[in-house]
Amino acid sequence: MEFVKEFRNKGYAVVFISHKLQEVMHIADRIIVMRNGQISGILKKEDTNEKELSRLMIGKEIAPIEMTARKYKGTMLEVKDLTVFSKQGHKALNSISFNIEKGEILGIAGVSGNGQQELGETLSGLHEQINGKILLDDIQIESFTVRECIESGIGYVHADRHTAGLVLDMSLRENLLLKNSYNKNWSRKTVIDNNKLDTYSREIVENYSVKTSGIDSPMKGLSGGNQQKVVLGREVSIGEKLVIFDQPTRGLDLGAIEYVHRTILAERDKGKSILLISTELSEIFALSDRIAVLYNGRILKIMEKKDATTEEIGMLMAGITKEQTNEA
Amino acid sequence: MKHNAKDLILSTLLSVFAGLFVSGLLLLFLNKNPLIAYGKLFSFLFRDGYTFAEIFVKATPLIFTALAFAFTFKASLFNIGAQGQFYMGAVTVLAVSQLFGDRVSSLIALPIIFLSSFIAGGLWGAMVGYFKARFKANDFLVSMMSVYIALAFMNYLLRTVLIESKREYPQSDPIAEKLFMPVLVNGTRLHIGFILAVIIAILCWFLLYKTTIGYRVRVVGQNPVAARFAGISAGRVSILAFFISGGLAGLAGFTEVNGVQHMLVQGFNPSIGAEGIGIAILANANPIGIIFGSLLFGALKVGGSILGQTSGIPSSIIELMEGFVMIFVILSYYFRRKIELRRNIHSLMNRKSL
Repeated sequence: MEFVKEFRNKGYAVVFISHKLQEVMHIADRIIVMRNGQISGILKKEDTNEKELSRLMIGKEIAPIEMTARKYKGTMLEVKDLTVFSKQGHKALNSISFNIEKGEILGIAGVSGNGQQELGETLSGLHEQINGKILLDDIQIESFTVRECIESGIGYVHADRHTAGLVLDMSLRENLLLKNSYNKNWSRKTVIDNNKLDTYSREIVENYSVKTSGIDSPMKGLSGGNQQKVVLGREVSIGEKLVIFDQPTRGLDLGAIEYVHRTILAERDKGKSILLISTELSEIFALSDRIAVLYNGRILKIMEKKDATTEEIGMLMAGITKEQTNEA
Repeated sequence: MKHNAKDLILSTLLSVFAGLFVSGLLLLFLNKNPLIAYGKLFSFLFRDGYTFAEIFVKATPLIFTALAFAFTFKASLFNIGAQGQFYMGAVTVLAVSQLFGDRVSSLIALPIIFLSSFIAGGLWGAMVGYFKARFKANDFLVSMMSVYIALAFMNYLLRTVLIESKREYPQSDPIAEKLFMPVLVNGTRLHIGFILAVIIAILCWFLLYKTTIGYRVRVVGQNPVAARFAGISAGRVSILAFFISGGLAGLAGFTEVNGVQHMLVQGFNPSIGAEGIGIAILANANPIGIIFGSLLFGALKVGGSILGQTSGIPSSIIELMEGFVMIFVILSYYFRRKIELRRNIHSLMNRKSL
């Protein structure tokens, strides 16, 4: 820190990139706030404060959607002291614990890169370097492979649908087979059951009103929103117990966003557990029953939505807990 | 889709033409008229039944080596080592055939020999896949280098345990006559191996496009990240794809030893591996297209060697021609990709502007 200041005092220009508001307030003369690749504010340090910065970081507010009261009882997912090591060996998630009830949406708020992706991937069986316990419907799943996670009813809508969720050069129907290729229901002695796959594909196209010229048309020809509907359809039918949505509306237009939101709520009302990861705080507020804030691999706080304020969550997203603000 | 098929046919014709053109230039240096030479080449093919049947004889092993390259290509893996897997298959079928001698009915022996060639080539190929999966070894380099090991291994055996009874040349004794593959048309060398190759090509198509195994091979080839998220192990797929690929090349050993040569000669058919790569790319790795691509190359070979014998044109001209055609075909593949990409961008732009 002091080095950066000295460097500046010598007359050099410094670009300092951080999501830690305290650091920024400490070091910067001018501050540019960026969100989703766009500039959402340019301010002088003297004229601003951490609250304003966090508000700019979060973005616009949208009116919350009507949510019905929860109808289901019992816990679906229990995560205890989960630590996940990244490939480089540092802790991407640091002993986090939470649970999700049946028919509940837990929103994970946070600036991206604070362990969200690792959380979604770990619950889908993609990480092996983990400590702690994960229980799905009272079954221990922390050592499950990706295939076992799919088989035990976990759907995962990945933040990056193009690379992780779809094979763009394949047809719509072949993309619907993607996570089911080991499932005996879809093939007879390894020969793909095309009748069944066709029926299922038409169902998805109809139920999710996917705009396409046909189930054999290549995936890359569909618009972003329609591609996401296909992913949604597939993951929702795989995720009979838990569906993880990581940035489910990123890059979509307003109509598609609304569609995705309604789908998420409908799945909740069927009694599934939903883990909703989003950097859009408005989305978290609109859909969650409870909200957890992930910062630097730790869950700083979990609260009921009715007790949560955008201000507090915005500060938590920047790593500032209430105690710290009181001290200051 | 329609556009792509049109591109494919057009670019293939263009690259064959370009190959003929460049090698035609070399004919001009010899004071020969390329057009007349090519005209002769074409007419030779229909000279008599024997010659015409030879096209299919020459195409048979090419179908197998081309399928071998195509199968791993679908998984974005490169099996450059079909030549070596072919030799492994050839050595194995010879050894098994010698073991059987004329003691066993050909109805029992031939299927076993068939299987042995597939397994021998397959295991030699699977080794490449295993190194790729286990050590992240470069499949291209390992498969390429494995050819030389296989070649040396075959030569070693041909100079020791498999050498002919006279112990004069590095070649084996002929196999028992009842183990020859049945001839389809009397008076020609055309054997049932060609039918077998066509059936295997169709089976390959079925495996790739109609089964979950082939589906996973293609998923890994087109998007390995999505494959990982779908629980598909790229390592396992690479071992399996290389096993099947090597097995297909091994089958060429079966058709060449039991169908054509009826013995093993040191370093025979030295270029079918490389030609297979060219054919597979010519056919865009489509198993059915490979049948036709192989027939084209078969025809070039047959017509070319007669041309060499009759017109005083060195037959190496034909090899040059094959080589040029292959290089142009490979080049056209990248042009096609570029054209396709540009078309996709265009259609995206048009949609945005609407």
